[in-house]
Amino acid sequence: MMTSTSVHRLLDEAFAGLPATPDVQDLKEEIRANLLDRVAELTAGGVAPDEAARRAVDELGDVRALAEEASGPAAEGGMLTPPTASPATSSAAAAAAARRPVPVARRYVAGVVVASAVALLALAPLVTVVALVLGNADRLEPGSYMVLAAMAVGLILSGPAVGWIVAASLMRETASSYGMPRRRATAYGVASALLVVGVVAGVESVLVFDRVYVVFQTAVPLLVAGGAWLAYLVATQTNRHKPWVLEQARQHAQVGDRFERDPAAAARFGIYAVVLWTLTGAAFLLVGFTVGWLWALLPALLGVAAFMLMVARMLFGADHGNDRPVP
Amino acid sequence: MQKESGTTSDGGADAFAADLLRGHTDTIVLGVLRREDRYGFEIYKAIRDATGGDYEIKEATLYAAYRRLVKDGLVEAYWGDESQGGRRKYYRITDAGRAVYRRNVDAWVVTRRTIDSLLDLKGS
Repeated sequence: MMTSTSVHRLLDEAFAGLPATPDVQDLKEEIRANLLDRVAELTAGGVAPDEAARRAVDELGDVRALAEEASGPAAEGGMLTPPTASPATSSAAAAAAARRPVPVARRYVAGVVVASAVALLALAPLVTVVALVLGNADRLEPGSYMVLAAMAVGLILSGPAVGWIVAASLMRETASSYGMPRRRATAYGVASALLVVGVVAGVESVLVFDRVYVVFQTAVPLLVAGGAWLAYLVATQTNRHKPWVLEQARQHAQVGDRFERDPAAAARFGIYAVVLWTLTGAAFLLVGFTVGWLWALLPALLGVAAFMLMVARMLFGADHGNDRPVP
Repeated sequence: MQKESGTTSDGGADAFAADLLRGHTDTIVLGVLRREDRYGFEIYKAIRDATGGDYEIKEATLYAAYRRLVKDGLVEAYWGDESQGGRRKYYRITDAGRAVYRRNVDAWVVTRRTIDSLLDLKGS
């Protein structure tokens, strides 16, 4: 193939002398595929293969400057490089504007308050009934129309109220994130509404029919559908963070945490953790068997608290942003 | 961006239009990606076709825009799985990209109205 050898040769020439960093290689491969397409288009229009290759490479413009940028410090996302001129997205002024806290919309806050009130009011009768049933260990009288009406209201209103809160919150722009597009936010809202309705329907059907297995007909299909949809949405979710958040994350990643720099500290942490949890487990069983299982929660809680203190001191305690060598 | 006969025959008007277009490269790329994921040559072609082939954004300008957009989290890049020929690098718009696109389009609509009225065009 005359065309391709010619294109590949010209591409190699354009990239000659540049350091073969992953970023530069990446750019070169990307350009290669696009060049081949352009050459194919030109030759289909009757241009001779060699001429087509030359013209395609000429059309690229100043690739060298681009490749040099890709091989330079900008590739590491370092903060030493001046921001590239970009009127649309990342000029300093735009960054400052994007970082400004977003004012809270009154309508949104009012909506969330109303929706929360609706959800709570809709579920209050149901929760009361459940509490009564559990308290008496006795069966509910399903004949009461009042109870049935309260249950229907709970079933109908709770899901949409929660779904609305979810969707409206996702659509809100915050200081660190952009608002989600309406369609996607609505999908999240509907999926979470399905989950809420599933739980409510499950509890209510058990109360009304007094059989546990009815949840397989009422709650489980809704929960599976809502859960699957939610999982799909989360799996396909793209970035919503603002550029300054990403920049900060890159800088933090460069700094790294203490365990990455000091493997011995990580090993010590692992041993301490095993000792701590062994002792906590032993204390839990001891207190549980001797005093009572309710009191056994106390050593468990103490264990969690001690673990958190350990994390705070060992992972984050040593360095306060300076480069003091770790002892 | 249509040529008016006579006025754009000199290079100055052409350069003016090309400059205007280039100033909105990032937003244009976001707009092209809004419906589906595309790779470099497709994006280039979409822009070329939309301008009737009169003005084009240089590919080097586009590559710089992709880098910037990826860095800012407005698009994501991934390699396609073509078995033959070069592998294509596809770009996918993120939710952040959609938000920025919408905001820039709103700003453009306002600006266009202002410029139209400043240039004393009728029908604005």
